[in-house]
Amino acid sequence: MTAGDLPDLVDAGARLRRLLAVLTHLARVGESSIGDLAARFGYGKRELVAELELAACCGLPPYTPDALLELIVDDDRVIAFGLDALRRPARLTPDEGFALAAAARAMLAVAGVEASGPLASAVGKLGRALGLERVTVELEVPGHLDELRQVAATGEAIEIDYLGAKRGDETTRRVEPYAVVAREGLFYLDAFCDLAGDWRRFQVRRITGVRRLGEPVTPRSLPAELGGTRAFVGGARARTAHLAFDPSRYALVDRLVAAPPTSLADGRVVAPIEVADEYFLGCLVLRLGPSAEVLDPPELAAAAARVAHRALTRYQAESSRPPGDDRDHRRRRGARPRPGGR
Amino acid sequence: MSRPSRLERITNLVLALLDASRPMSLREIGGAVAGYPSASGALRQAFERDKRTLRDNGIPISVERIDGDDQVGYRILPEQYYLPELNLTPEEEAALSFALLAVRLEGGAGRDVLHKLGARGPSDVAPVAVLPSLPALGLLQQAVLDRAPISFAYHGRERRVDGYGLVFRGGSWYLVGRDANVGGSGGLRRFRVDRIENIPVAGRPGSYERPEGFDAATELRYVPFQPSVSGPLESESTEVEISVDARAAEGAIALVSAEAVRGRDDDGSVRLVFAVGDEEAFYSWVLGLGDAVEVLAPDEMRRGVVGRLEAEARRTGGPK
Repeated sequence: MTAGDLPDLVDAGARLRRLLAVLTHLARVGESSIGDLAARFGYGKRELVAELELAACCGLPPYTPDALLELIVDDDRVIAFGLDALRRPARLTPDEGFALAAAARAMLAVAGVEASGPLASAVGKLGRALGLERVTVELEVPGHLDELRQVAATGEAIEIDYLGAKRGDETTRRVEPYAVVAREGLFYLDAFCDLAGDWRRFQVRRITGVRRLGEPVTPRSLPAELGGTRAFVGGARARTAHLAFDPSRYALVDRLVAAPPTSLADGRVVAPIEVADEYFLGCLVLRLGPSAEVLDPPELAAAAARVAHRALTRYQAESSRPPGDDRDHRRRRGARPRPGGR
Repeated sequence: MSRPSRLERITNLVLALLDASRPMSLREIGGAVAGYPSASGALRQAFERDKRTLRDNGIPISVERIDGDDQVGYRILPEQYYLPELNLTPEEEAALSFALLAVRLEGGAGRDVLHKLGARGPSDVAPVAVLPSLPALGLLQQAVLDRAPISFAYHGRERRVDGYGLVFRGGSWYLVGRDANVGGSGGLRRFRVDRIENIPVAGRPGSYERPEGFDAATELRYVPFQPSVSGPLESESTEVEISVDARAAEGAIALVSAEAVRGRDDDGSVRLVFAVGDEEAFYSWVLGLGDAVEVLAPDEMRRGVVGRLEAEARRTGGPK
């Protein structure tokens, strides 16, 4: 069966777009190896040859040999003549235009990445034609980002000072960095951690010190779960907790819930949330307000109370307020105007 | 050879309509372009389907009035088909390819752009950022670019928005624009794109003007903890002062703005002073920061936090 015989089950429009892109490339270069072309456009070699053979049967009415696209296809090479009408690429679809804008903008947002180089000038040229200036991507760029990206690229072990999730969790660790990637708007370092004896994902904004150790990392392949799209990776520590809370607070957790919430008779909703850390869960419950609680597992039911106890010690102990500071709250009339809705 | 496949037929259709110096009638298309059925009903059905496929893939067919029995003719206008000449240098093309490979737009069309530009990036590019993509984003960006009002459902209400820009912030995509259904002349609003409840519909292009020098990112930088939109316009706000530990400092500053920073201590903690209108939203945020934050002033709100923490500690018993 050749690709030309594939039924319409395969999206003919998507196939057309890719085929036109191949033909545009061939119109420009004239000749190409099948291998290069297949790699460039993401085809299998046999699949590509079948598509090119199909294209060689296309052309203009009356489809006499001189009116067909001139493509000479064999198993290794393809030679193209003419194809003048296809020499220039087709316009970008809205989805493609958006993808280009988002990628270019995100890359520019990462400081140190060609801030004044060819990407910036390319974006300038594309701006008017494709509307790139209507898309903004903001990524917070933490202080140690550049250095971490470097050591991840070169594969050099480092020592980091890391602020953990809660007070007293501050650690210094030797880690072998593998990847530094922004997910859900924040940069994370994926590294093999000597202290944990396992892979860990660190929030780059919580890394307060980086020292290069001059040692190469041990070759390891990154676990599949770190390659996914989500920021959260619980690993072996991940558990699913069921939280009940007031539905008006749902927006606070919608990105964390693993499945659609269900309703309770008392008006609250229940949603499953994957957590690796009890402290994190406790903070979440506190944030969701007084009607929120962990229904299961039972050992996590007191997570919020434990966080509350920890937080209360700050208020009971010596406050960081200057002594004798009894400044009263200042009430003002008139809030600043709200620039946008929620 | 057997009947040409659909891919072959639409490829032939594109080539014929792009080559046409005048619009072709449906009968001409059926008679000349390989692959169409001859019965007129089936021909129309097949052509309409192909026309829709091409349009969905960024190849608009121009429909024009013609003389003669058929009255309507079709062609692909070169200015609507071809990508405008971009005049990119090889370095610029390489930089764009790299960006398209390094920024992973989940489910997005980055690969298709690479194909279209004919660019071959390095085969193995480490990702720099993973961004969520949503089916509506391409349409929204096109509508913003075309200045076409967008209609969609959001928080259970029908909106009609003149879109000014799209912003990715804090892990979410936002549409910023003027909502025609707010107030007399419309109000500037932001909408989280993943909370749009249906497939947005774009109206007529060129329907509005974007304000001169408008910057969507600046407009989006809202003041947190303000009273809700439905509340009274003139409402009270309280100036609060908090201390935030280093591990949560950057996030807090990103939320309340760098202007709120009053001091930094050696341990990396920051003192922030800012106005709070919606006290419940403020309490929720502060409590969610656990032991990384302390409310310093005013006393009333400091006591408010302590009271809520004590209630929580009592409610579930706390550590034994």
